[in-house]
Amino acid sequence: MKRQPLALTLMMVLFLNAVVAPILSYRFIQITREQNRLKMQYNAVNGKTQLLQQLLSEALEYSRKDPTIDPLLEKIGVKTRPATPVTATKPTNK
Amino acid sequence: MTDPDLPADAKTESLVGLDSWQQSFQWLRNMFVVVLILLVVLSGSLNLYLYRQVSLANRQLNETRPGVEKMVAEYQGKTFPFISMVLSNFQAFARTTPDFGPAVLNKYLGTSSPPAAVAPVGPAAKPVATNAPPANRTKPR
Repeated sequence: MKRQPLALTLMMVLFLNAVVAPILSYRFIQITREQNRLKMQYNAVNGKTQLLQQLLSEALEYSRKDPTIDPLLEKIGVKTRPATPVTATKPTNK
Repeated sequence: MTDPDLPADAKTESLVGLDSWQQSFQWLRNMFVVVLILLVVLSGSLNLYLYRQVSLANRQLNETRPGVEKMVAEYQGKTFPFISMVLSNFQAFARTTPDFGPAVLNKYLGTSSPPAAVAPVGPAAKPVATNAPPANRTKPR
């Protein structure tokens, strides 16, 4: 039987393509999964940080009605202590 | 040509049949090569597309990963302890000031009474998972 070198070559190329395609697909799936994992981490961290900001701003809002929370807000660094008068800090020389 | 008519006809017919069969066979071989070429082009295009997608996704991943990892490390190193500290302080304050819990803290912790532990806030925490506080809670007095 007469052989066809063109057909043989084409079949080899086709075989190579059939081997490479699943490898590339698997790699793509892996990268996409990793991207999704990073996105979820980013969203979780971002959401919690935003929630903390909201909580702190509500606490600040609450401090206008109830100043007893002020020392706590000053302690955690959310609210700055109002500047004390100079006369109060000066030592009295009697 | 001294052969009788009948065998000559049969020979001619068989030659014609063989020729037709050979033509059909050649046509099939050509079609097979054409189909092979089409398949190679199709699978090559698919592989090229996949390769480009993989390269693009890989590049995006490499650009994104350091930022997110840095952000997560910063969260675990600084923000998470800060959240724990803030919550424990707020919970302690809510025990002494009962108004604070329903007005502010419970919106974020999702409980009617302040919990004893700081456990709700963490990487795998549930109560802080909601992104926005519920709208129809009790208003601060």
